[in-house]
Amino acid sequence: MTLPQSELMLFYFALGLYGLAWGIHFSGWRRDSLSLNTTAIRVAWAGLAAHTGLLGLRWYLAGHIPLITAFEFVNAFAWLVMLVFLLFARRQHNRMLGVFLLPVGLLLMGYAAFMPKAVQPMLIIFDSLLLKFHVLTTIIGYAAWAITFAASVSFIYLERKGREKPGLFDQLAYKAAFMAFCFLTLGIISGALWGDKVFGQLWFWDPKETWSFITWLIFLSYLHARYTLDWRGKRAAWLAILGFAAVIFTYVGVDFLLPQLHGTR
Amino acid sequence: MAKRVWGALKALASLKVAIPLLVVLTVVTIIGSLFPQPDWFRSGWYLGLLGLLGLSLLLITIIHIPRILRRKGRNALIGVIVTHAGILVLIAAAIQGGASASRWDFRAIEGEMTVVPGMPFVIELERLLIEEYDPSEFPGIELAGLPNKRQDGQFRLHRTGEVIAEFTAAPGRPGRFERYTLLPSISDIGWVFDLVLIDRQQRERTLTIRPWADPTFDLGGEQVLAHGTGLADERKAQLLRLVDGEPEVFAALGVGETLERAGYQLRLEGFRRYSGLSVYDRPHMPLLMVGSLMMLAGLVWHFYHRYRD
Repeated sequence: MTLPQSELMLFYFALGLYGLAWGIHFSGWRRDSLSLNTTAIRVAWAGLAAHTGLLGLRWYLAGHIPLITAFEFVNAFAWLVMLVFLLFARRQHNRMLGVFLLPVGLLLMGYAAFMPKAVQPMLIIFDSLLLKFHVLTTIIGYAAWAITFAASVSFIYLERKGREKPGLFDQLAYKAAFMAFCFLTLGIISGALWGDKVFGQLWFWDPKETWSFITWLIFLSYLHARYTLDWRGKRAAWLAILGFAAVIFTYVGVDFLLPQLHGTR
Repeated sequence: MAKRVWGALKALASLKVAIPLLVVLTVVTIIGSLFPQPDWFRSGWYLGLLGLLGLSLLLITIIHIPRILRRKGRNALIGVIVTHAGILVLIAAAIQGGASASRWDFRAIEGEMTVVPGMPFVIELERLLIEEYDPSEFPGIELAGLPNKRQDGQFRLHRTGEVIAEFTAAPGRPGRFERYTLLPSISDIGWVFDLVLIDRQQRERTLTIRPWADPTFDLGGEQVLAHGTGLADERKAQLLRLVDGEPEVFAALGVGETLERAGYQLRLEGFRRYSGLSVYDRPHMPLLMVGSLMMLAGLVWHFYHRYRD
């Protein structure tokens, strides 16, 4: 089934609005302008509305939850990143996150723009509650780590500028990291159980699995470094950025560099 | 000696050792993924590293529990203990699995009984019902890479000459009997058949063609290769020969059809499906589930109490 024009229009409309929101937000941040920031948030909400419409339309056209193809996975990931940012941005103090989080969503959408967008019927082996749970929890885990990343970059920036209250971002990064770790753990366990039902094996050491495990180990190191070694501030922030690089490599890099079983491309 | 062992255990119970171990594990896992080598993740030293981390985790949990329980905010810390204990249960489950799990991977042919050494029953694949996806539903996708829409195997299990179980199993829907699970392969399926070869002296010879065995034979001095193709209602055996090193189809035989070539006759018979099968017994699965649940419950408990307190 080819992608209807209306769906394609919604995709590019949302992408355009997010781009515009980021431009306004960036300039508001540089000029310290509250009104520009507020406008940017409103534009981003409009982008999210179009994006939600796109997901809904796709769900209707495909007849199943749009989390099956690689395009759908990235699309849902970008949608969640934007939603989480906008929910956080209701507190004025958190709005700075958008400077670093909006580009993450934009890059994901940009990546999706180059992917085959055709709607695919549900393969019988994908029609499993366990698999949907796996995809959903993994996306939530990755989106939560995107918050950790943005909060950590915000912390480093504010600390360098000698601005007030960078510690709030440090705390936010930690809370989001904990959420990310819980959801990624759930995602890995449910994915292994689904693989066992279909392929008869819990773990294959497939590159995508291996990199999920590596990402999980980095999240684990971050939490332990904070909790037991008392890492705070800049050191923890750099580890969080490394964790986000692992998320991106797990999602994008593995697809291009390593042959694998997972069909996320 | 005892002093040295105690010293080593004390060192392992320290976070100063556990965290570098975690970092080393991450680094070697990255190396193993970027520069794939056979059995890197199954090698003794990699499993040993995992085991060392497990031992360190066990000692940390045991040694620090009494102190943790006396500390302020212990509600949240109980979650940490439960999570760590869950990981230990997972490691114990993996060890139990390594010691007691059994698995047989083999192929079964429609209408035949399959005896596998060590397996406590004989498997009969009565029928394999395959329904393929309609190519028009998948524009731009190579159908050869997709699994089937339906792939139901009807199985009978026999023991001492009696049928002890009958069920249908498919990838994603394994069959179960006693403590055993039977799972058909998602990709290892195809055709097997017999070719009856009649030579110039009217002598008959039956060639059994199995994709996993050498499918070539001599036909009047020419090396020929045979393989099954097509859907259930238009199944054919393709015959290929090598031309300039490349295989080239020179004939396709339907069931019961005969081909004459170089004074030889070839007749196709017994065209059936086969499926790869895995039968396994994993007594450690309940422990794996308990470990996973403990890990998650501990994390949720910790998070809830940490921010509530």
